[in-house]
Amino acid sequence: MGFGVGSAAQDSNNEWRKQRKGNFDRLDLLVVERNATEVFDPTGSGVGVRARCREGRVINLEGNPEHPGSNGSISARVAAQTQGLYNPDRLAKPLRRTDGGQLAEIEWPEAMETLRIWFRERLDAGRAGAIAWLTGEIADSDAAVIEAFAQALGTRPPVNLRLQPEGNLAAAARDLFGYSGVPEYRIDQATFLVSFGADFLETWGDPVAQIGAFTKMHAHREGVVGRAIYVGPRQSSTAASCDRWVKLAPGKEAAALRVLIEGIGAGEAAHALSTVPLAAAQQVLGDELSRTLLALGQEVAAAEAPLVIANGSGPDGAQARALALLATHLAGGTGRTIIFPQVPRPPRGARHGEVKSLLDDVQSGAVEMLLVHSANPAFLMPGGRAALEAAGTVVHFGTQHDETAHLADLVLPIHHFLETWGYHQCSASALGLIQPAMRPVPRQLPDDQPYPQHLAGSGTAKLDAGLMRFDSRPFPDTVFLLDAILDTGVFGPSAELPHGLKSAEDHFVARVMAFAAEHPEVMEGLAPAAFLREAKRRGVLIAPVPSQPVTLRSDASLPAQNPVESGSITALLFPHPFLVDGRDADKPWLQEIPETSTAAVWDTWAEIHPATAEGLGVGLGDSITLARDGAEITVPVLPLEQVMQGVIAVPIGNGHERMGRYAAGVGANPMPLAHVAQSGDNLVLHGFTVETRAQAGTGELVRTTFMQTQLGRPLAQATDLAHAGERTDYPGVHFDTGQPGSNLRSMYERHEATVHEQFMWGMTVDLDACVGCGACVAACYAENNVPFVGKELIRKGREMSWLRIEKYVEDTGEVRHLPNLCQHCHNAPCEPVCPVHAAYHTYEGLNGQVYNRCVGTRYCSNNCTYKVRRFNWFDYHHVPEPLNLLFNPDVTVRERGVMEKCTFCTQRIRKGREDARRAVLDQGDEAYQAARPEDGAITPACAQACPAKVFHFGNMADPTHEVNAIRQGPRSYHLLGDLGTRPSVTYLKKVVREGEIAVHTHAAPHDESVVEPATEGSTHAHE
Amino acid sequence: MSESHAAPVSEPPALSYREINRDIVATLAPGGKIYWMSVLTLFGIFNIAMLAWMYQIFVGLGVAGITHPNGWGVYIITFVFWVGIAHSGTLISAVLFLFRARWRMPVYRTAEAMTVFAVMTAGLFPLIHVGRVWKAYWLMPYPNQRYLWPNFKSPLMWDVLAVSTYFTISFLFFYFGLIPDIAAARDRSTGLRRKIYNVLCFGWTGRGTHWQHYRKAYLIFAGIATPLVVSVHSVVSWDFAMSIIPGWHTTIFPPYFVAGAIHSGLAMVITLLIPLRRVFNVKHIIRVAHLEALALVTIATGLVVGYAYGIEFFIAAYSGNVYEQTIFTDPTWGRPFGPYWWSFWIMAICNCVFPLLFLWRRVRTSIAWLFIISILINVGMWFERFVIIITSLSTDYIPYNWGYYVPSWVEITILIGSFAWFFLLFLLFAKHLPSISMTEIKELVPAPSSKETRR
Repeated sequence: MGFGVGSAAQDSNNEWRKQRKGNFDRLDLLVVERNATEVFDPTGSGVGVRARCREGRVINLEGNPEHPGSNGSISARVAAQTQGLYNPDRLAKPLRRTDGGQLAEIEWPEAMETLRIWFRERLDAGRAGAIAWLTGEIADSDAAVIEAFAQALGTRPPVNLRLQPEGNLAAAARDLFGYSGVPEYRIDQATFLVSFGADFLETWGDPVAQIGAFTKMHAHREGVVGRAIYVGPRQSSTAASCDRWVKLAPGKEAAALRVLIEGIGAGEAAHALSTVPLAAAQQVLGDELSRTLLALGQEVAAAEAPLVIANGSGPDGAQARALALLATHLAGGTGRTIIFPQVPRPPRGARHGEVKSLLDDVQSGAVEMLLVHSANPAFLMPGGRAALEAAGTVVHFGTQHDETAHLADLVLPIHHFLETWGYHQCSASALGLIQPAMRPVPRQLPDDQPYPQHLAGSGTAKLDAGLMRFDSRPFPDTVFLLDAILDTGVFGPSAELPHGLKSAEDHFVARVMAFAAEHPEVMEGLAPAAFLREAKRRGVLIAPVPSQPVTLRSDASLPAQNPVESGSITALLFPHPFLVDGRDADKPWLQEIPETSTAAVWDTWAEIHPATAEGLGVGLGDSITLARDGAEITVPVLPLEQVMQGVIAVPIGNGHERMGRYAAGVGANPMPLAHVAQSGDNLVLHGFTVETRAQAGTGELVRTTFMQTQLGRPLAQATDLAHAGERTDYPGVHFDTGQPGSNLRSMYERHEATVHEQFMWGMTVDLDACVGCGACVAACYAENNVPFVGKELIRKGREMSWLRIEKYVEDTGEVRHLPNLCQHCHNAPCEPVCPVHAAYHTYEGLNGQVYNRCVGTRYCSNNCTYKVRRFNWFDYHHVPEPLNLLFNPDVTVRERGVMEKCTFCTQRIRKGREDARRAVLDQGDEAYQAARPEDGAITPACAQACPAKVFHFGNMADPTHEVNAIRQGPRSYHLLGDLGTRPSVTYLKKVVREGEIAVHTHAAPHDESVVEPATEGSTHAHE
Repeated sequence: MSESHAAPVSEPPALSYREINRDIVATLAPGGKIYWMSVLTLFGIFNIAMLAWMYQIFVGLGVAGITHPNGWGVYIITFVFWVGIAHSGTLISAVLFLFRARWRMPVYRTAEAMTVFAVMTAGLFPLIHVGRVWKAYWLMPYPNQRYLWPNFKSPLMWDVLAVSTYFTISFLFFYFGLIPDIAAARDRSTGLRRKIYNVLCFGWTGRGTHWQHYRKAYLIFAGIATPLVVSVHSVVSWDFAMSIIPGWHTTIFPPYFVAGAIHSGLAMVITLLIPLRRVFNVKHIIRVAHLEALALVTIATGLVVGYAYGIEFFIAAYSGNVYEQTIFTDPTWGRPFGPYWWSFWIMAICNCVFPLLFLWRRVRTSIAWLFIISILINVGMWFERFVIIITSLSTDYIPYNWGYYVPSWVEITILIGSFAWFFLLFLLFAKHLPSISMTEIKELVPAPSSKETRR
């Protein structure tokens, strides 16, 4: 500055800018976004993801905005899939059981030869029927290829094992409407949604898409007044997000639905309903509940677009799903909230009875050779373990060394979905495409270059060299593997995969081109090669399928009712919202992020109503043993009012004996308590009796909080529907608009106008939309290299999450979710107390934290009124290989002894700002300096991940940014705003649609001018 | 008791100058077996604590029990405790000197030594406490090319300055007072010892000009040190009062902390003097009356801290501030009832109730009672800091974050080590420098005849 004359300065600027441009271009080469798709959701539909790659490795999964199953957002499970990719315990080499009974590593040729010999033996003996396939949550492409393989060899057809199969729904659609296929729900179209135990925001159906749809029908910001009612035994996160929770004991869904239908009016279905007598149902429920459900039925009937859904995991599961479908139809939802596509998607997941009979055959020896692909029957199926132990030969294909792999005789590692090609039918109209986002993860770095030296030298160059040295061939995709077996020619010339497939890529291309042939409109006039490129870019092909009108069959029938067990204590096994059926238990983030409704981590527990717990003689700190049919588990007790009395709720997902260091030995597996319903329709996960035994003082459950009440403090605020459009503040709490004349007085000059002229980043958080799903938390872990610390340290309160979702239960039973992150206060209490300026205010209005300057006094954390700062108590970044490859190179990996916290994803802000400047590089200095990113150009990881679009981020110094309008709205308030911290995060109150808002007995402090002398936030003067 | 506690505190000891020199220099005689065993034991304990610290540095601060939300724990509690102990030294030596309270004379040297060693102990704790001790020098304002200065707005920075200033002044004051006494010790010693003492006393000869300068300088030092009595602990209290945390953010803190500091300091002086006067056989110089005077002051300071405890509850109840009320008066979470109820009651009873026993003359003139109660007061004062720091942090604004703090073995070891370090320094001092001021004791007794002076 100030030296040299004009032209020279101009020249040097131009020169500088040229150099900068060069830098930018190089940067672009490094960041690669690839549309790989498909993480499978519980029922098996996909979530479209976009993999962010740096230096040839996937570092982050983001939602694919073009994918209808994700709409650009993800779930916590999706975000954590990268930890499956880089899992240190991922299968590395083929394993074969030795004569000593141990699994030992072998080379690929030997593995293939072994497999070939095993097939040959059976086929030669004419016992092809003794070979069976059991698949799990796999992509349609793999399913198709396995099916073709099975056909080619004449083995038994593959059986697909899923925790919540769609078979019952498809059967109900067939029996009621003569429709074959899976009907699709349109939750976003509903105005009145009744869920019978279906946790549609967590684990039932396609939660990511359903959360988005739910906010469309329910969120106040959308200008809608949809209602959602939850009928079930446990107030799950889903129930907490609904407007009403009707308590219904487990196993009574069908009876309740029967009464509901009576309230709607049975009408044309009277004949079909004759097998389900009303009187019996009413007797099961009792008078009061019957009246409630009759009234609810009338509400459903009166609704404009009603939708009734049911869980289907009880003893009456099949009947409940059919009755829910019928109820929706009778209330007029068909064609609006339930769609029957003309070209239906086949249901996924066999009836559990089928799986059971397969396993019985395995056990009896009728099936001599069982090939398991990505399924874990030893963990998931009651009796599965015994069957596999007794099995003749078991071959396991998968990425995880789980219980089934451990019992297998031959284990063949396969590609992770981020390393391979494939496709998956997400809905009737959308075909998701699976593409490799990276070269397969190096499993074993060369021995002569152990880790430290390997990375210490020239960094990425050497890492790349290590990757180059890695031969990807030992990691075959399923197609390659099966084709290789057929290729040996021993099965005769007819044994060939369809279309002569030789690799997964061939299969992918063939399917994409076939889809284009079926739906020529998706080509959009492109040449095949260009179309293929475009399809790969999009990651999904969409060809809307019209819906077909259906009518109730005259001979419509309902599935039979299984006997419902009654006892004083009934069990409820529910899928853990993150671990679901346990296949994600080896991903430490999912263990570490507090479970959405209890805040429990790294464990399995029993939720029991305090009154019931007292009756059983257990309390917090005790364990309880649950036993049934010879199986028993012992889990810590968690007394909570969110379950009905007489019910013990246990999450499914943990309790692995194998599956790597993060899953093994964590919690207990409740699945052996479950059983397959008599009718064989489904696994009975609730509504069965268990024996209990108290174990005093042995169950310490670790939760990230022991306080799920806000003690009447106005933290997570709410307003009722009538007042949602007007400002209703708590006495003494004033909203600081951030504008001059705001009613919050301050001793200090405001610096927005002078210092934050160009940028002042701000965020709004809509508590009304938030369902507490935890996607933002996981995305934050992934984006910002937030370390996971394990159960022991969380017990001490040392979890590292920068963003957490606080759940508060009001006295009225109403639940509020409060995502809490650094508020980036303008009068930040953390900043002035730092003795070394490590915490400081940036000129963009952020609370900066200079990790390299921090000495670790922890005063900032003490003084933070939101307690959102996290301290590195240990060297957390020493993670086992190859998890280190997951670190985001844009974000500093923090050293032991420093404080860290949310940065509003400053690396993304930086990139957005630089992108805006790049766009005006040739327009001179002034334009360059003044360039500001457009609204929406910058999205922090949490906001991007959120399926409910709770977060809105923007530049408060730019009036064109929507964040300004949102934060001036009537529902806005600042968390602890009366303290005068002037946060950059603005919350929007939850809207309570039914019942009274919990009254806050405590008034907030009266002094409206409280501004702490110690919180002057003007350290930016140093910049 | 055989000791003459009937004699008033102002009564001079019935000793001549010569006897004073003889008795006090006798305390510097080579230590016996017990002395060196004690020194070695303390040194050993101190080293174990240093090993614990080393372990913490190598492994990470996580080995301590401090956590989220309790970012401060035993280390800061003990830091404040030792700074508090350091307080009464200057109070006794400087403030009482200016007030011409003659009863201070036999006890002030011990109090000053205690001050210096307590600050030296306290000064270790910020280093032990920080996450990256190898960067702790960034807390000092030193010129550097990057113009990176500490943040002078931070109360922690004020702390650094206040404590280092206090250490400098109290050390100089302590040392200055020692000069004539070192000279007296020199006169009675021989060989190497004599040479060392001669250097330490800057060649003091006791000339008239020496005395003249000494008296003036001492007065000036006393004047400089007096405001520090108030300032140091006020500044330390600002670490808390300047924050925004309920239970910390209180205007009463500076006087409350100063009173508490004096309370603990006086108790520590009593704790130290009782064994000292016995071991060194100087019961006729440090008489029960002196201890009684100290005990009477602790009644006053005990009442002041008791008042401060009470007023916090009143303000919490009166303000209607829910966050304050949770810390103080809430029946589930408040300090007397919540998860840390025991620490509150230890604090309240030890600091406010036990000193009241001194109202009875029998108690305050009984050596056993004095010793026990003085130790209890210090236990109470340690817990006062525990209550302030831990209860306020563990239940602040957002209930989701609330957490329980349990000190780890590393913290406990270092806490014990700090006592070993303090007593080690004191033991070494007591045997190598006069722990009672000969100069000032001599002022108490009638001037000797000229014949005696010449000796």
